[in-house]
Amino acid sequence: MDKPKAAKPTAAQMLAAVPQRNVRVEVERHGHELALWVPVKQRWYNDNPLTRALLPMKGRRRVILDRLGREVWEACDGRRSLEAIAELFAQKHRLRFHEARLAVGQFLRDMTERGCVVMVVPPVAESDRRPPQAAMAVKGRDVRRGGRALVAGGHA
Amino acid sequence: MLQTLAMQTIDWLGLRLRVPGEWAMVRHSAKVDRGRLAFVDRRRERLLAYWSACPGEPDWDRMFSDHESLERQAHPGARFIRASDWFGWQVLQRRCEDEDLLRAARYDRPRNRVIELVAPVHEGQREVIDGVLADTELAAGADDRAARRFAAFDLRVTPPEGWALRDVSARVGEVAATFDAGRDALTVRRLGMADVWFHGDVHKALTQRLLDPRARFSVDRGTGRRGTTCRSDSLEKGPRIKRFAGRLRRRTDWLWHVPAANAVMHVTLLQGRGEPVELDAFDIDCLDALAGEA
Repeated sequence: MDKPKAAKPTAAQMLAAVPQRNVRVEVERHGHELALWVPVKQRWYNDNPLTRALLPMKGRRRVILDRLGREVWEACDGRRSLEAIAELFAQKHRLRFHEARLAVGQFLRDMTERGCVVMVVPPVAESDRRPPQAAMAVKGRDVRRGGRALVAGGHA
Repeated sequence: MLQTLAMQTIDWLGLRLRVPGEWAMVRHSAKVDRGRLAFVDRRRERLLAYWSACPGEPDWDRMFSDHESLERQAHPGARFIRASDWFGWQVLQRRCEDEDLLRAARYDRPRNRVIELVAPVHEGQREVIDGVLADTELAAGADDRAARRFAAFDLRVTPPEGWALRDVSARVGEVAATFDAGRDALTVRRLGMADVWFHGDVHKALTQRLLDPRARFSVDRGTGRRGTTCRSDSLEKGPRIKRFAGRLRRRTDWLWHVPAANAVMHVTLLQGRGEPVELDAFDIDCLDALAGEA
């Protein structure tokens, strides 16, 4: 039986969404840049030691963040919403909120796809005039190679 | 509420709008005969301004009765209020349970076009919308200074007579407005977030942007409002045969830093044969996105 598709979050919900860092990501600092090592789930054919020896696949993937990416990553403290992070970004770089929101939103979308971050979307508020829906966590996938990144809890 | 919001002025093809500073323009068009501007705040659409060519002033009653019929089909229980001089606008307001909608129209005689503003009216927002209607101005002449003025995306440009806005592109960190007059073209770019990528050397920044070994550079450490400006003179890129035939336009670039706005301005002027035009003929200003106009 197919799962019913969740309704698309409203603009207000997306602004209130809180990005949570993947706790299994390891962070390395190189000057202004950050390297994030994201663990990747092994494929079914790599589940045993023999195939792993014959086909050595990396167990993790590296994501390099530049200075701007590092700023947004460090602002994701598990409490700040997307709106608060965009406001901080706008204040620091003297941008309008809309421009900052686009930049931060695009970055967090990429980070979600790479499995570094999960967006926790709150339930719709009464004033939002849309049908009510349960809170949902949007999980990321590594789209480049189709592999699944490991998020908090050990599985994608 | 209206008094506490910082406002911003939008000048676009002879139309001047004063809207709250937190509204952002998400759709725009530089076509004179038909186009639109769409404004949103953080959560929803706030205002649509659109214009279309019209040789004479339309029959407002007929136009609004058409709008009313369409609205009644979509909202059967709605009430409609019609006004013929609301701050100089013809207005139709729809009131229903879901959302009130205000539609205002006006004829722009110098440019032979009808301008319409459509705004959903949410609780507490009526004052804001009335303020926008009251403060909207139309340039009196077809080619006077007010008609040529451009102000949007924290960029203000007033070109000299004969120049008109042709294209605007707005991306994160870069806004570009292009004006032309015959074969001559001017592109003004506002490059934001300068604290991240600009390291204080205007000559280096312009060299990296142009990547043209034939360009001749000079740096003017002026004390005018632009500060230190790097200028380069070259020819526009094009096939060699055009260069030998003298068909390529002269290209002049200027680049300067605006610390107050955390931005760098890059202006490109392409000129064909004719009297050379200097940068001072264009009134170019870059605003601080967070300062507001009060």
